[in-house]
Amino acid sequence: MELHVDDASLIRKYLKGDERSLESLIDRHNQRIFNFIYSKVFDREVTEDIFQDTFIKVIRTLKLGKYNEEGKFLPWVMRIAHNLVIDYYRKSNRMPRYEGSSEFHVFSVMQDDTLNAEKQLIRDQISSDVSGLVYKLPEEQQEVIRMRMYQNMSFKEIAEKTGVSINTALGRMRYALINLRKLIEENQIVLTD
Amino acid sequence: MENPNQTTHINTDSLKASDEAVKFLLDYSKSYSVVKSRGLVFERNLN
Repeated sequence: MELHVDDASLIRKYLKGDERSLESLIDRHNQRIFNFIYSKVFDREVTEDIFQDTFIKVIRTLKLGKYNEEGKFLPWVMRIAHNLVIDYYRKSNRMPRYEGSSEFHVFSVMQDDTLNAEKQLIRDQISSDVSGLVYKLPEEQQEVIRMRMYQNMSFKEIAEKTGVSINTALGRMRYALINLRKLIEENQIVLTD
Repeated sequence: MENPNQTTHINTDSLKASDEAVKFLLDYSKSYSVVKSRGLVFERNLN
């Protein structure tokens, strides 16, 4: 019988030099983190790059002794991934675009988007918080949330993919939302910007 | 016109980092170390 070793124990073993523990951590969370990043960038190569950058940061932070979120490894890694996704979008939009009209409008390239950026940051933070909570739901509820909210699948498709009736898929979604609301209240997350 | 009911089907089973990406991370971890000396912290990457 295989014993389940929790993330905190794997981290401790890794910091004592057991590199296989890192492999276990990556393997355990690979799909969730990859899906999380993919749901934001919709590009496999970019996702792979961000995934690697995320774990490089994880490795460095752990070895530098700066990790202090014992027991919350996955939400911590998700936050790192989320911040790297934001960096990716910032870098892609950094260069102003000039469309080549005969008149050059300085305000077309110079705009104060501080307020929008702040709102976006708050929205991203809320999204990150909620994503972290989704992983506290039962597996079948996580699945329906992921497929519906992040992958934009219809309930018919969800039902087909998971091998249940549409009513069951709808029921799982309903309970997922009820449980999410409870978790949001328990964790005192504010959902307005 | 874009169909508002159109959905994107993604096969989540295959959505995970490649073996190469994981191997790169494991190699990176083995080559990366932190050295503390006289109150200073040095990061070292041996390839």
